[in-house]
Amino acid sequence: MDIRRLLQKSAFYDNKVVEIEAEAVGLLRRKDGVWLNVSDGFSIGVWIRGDKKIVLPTRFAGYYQEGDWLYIKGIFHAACRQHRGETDIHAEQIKLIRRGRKKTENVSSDKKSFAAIMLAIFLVCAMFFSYRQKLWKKKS
Amino acid sequence: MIFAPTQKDFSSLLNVLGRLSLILSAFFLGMAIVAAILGEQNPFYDFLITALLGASCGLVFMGVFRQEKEFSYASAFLAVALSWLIASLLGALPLYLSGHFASFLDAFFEAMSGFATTGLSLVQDLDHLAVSLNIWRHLMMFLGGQGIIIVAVAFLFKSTTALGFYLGEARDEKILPNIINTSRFIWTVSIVYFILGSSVLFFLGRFAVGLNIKAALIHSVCIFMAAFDTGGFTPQAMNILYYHSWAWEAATLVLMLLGAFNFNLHYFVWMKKKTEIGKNIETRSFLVSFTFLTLLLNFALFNKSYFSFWPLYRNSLYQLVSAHTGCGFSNLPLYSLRQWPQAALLAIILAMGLGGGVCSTTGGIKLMRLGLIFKSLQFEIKRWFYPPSLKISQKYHHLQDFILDEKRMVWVFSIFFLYLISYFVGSLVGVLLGYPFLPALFESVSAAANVGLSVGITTPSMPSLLKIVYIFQMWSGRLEFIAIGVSLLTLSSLLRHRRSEKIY
Repeated sequence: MDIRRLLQKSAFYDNKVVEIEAEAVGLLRRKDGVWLNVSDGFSIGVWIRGDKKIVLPTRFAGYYQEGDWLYIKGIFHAACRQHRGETDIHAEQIKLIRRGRKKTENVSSDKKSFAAIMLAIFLVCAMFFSYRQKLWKKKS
Repeated sequence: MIFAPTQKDFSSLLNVLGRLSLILSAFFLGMAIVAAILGEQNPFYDFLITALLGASCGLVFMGVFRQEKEFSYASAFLAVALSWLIASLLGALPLYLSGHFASFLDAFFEAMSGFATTGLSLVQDLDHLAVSLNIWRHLMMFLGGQGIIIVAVAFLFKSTTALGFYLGEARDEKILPNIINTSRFIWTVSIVYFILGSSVLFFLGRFAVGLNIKAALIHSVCIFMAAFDTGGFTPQAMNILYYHSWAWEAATLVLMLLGAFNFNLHYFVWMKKKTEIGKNIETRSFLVSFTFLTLLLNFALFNKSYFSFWPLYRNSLYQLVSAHTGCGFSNLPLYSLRQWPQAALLAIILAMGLGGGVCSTTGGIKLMRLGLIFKSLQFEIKRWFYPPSLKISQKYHHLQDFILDEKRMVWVFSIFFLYLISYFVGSLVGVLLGYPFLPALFESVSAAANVGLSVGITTPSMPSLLKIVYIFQMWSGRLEFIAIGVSLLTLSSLLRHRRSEKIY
């Protein structure tokens, strides 16, 4: 099931066991457990109790990498009483579907060339401005 | 008399735009350095190219066109209106080059939303956006909230020139007799709050939320800029829900409220009388409207799935404060608002439409005008109740006691109706493009009042016409229409080259 459907039909799925597949976006450690934020285009928080023996993801979505892609099974709460009304999933089971990978960042040679051309234009403009300033000073 | 700007005004105008372009380039260069420190190569080049482009244009404008004389208000208003467009055009460039926007129009929408402190967003795949670009999105809010022009006013212009720029950015009031000192005070207040607010958020982010040190640092700075400047962008797609922390939410509530109050009130509380908070017409208007809207919202959500203490108060009050202060943060999942009952949505629409204090970072009708409209009604009732021979006056308190006068009320009602027209026209376009009325009204008010809450209309796939309408609403709403009107008149005069009679 996708998260969008879960959120749109939140009253229907409230307190039911749901299964989703999503990318790990962030991990927040708390005293009694862990919040795992996941996204498949739409996002939701997954609560993992501290006593649950679940292997946590290690790679999270960011500029340099794709996050681990996970299968999550748990109980959905439209307005969780334990977490002061948050919409969340309390995880029962999490499986790694695909490990996240580092992304290589390539700067195109066109972009580098364009930056160099812009630098040259800037220098010409700076010289032009300096010349005009001197001219105005002379006139005044 | 015919108002006719001359060729020299045109020259001064372009010179000022050149200066502003140069100032913005300094920020782009700063962001390029941030990108280099973070090791983000593509954003480094994107910021560098934008900085060089902005600086080159700025130098050409300053070299060709000379600032000939003091600025008239009309020319200053035109310069302000054009500055916001130029800032958004330049600000959109690194966003567009990142590849996270479907078109340049979407990137321009994002930049205008940032500078106008709106918070409606068309970014795609935000969770994979480079950190430096994310900081730039939030920095645009800080610059826009404090006033792009205020930066220039504080450091570049003569006092008489500065006043026109200051008023053009929809700031009705001076705090100190000298406008340059006023601008500097606004920036001093903001920097003090920046240090305090970011430190509190960093502490909470690290120990209550559970972020690592680097993330806590970045998130605290970004969230401060978006909260205090009532912007509403967040570094993650989940918005405030990402943090799963009521303490974090409480801290952002305080920052939103601080940003929504009049800078003059900040000045009085800091320097003069703390009791002003209780007497001021704006704080009183806020208390009345907030109480009324809270009751309306609770009544609307009562017996719905939100009925239990925490869901009801945590979620509904957070959206209400966020809407009333014009911030646009949300602690609900994406588009959950559309599942709320219509009466609850109306309460949020009313809160968004009213906005915060004048001389603050919020948009919308503003609390001062709301208070004065009620005072005016009170006056009319008294006038008809008492014998005609009795001379009646109506007082209001804002830093000192004032007598309500007709000139002021004409101004108040003009702005009030211009906002109503803007809200209506935006929703009409939405309805014509096939959206239901209430969501169209919600989104239109959110754009025109520079709030940023969304029921799901603002997406990259929405029609381009609606994007353009919202961009115009954000721009005109931020400058409170008058600057746009004066600019259009000035521009038409400039283009017609009428010089039969000159008034300066």
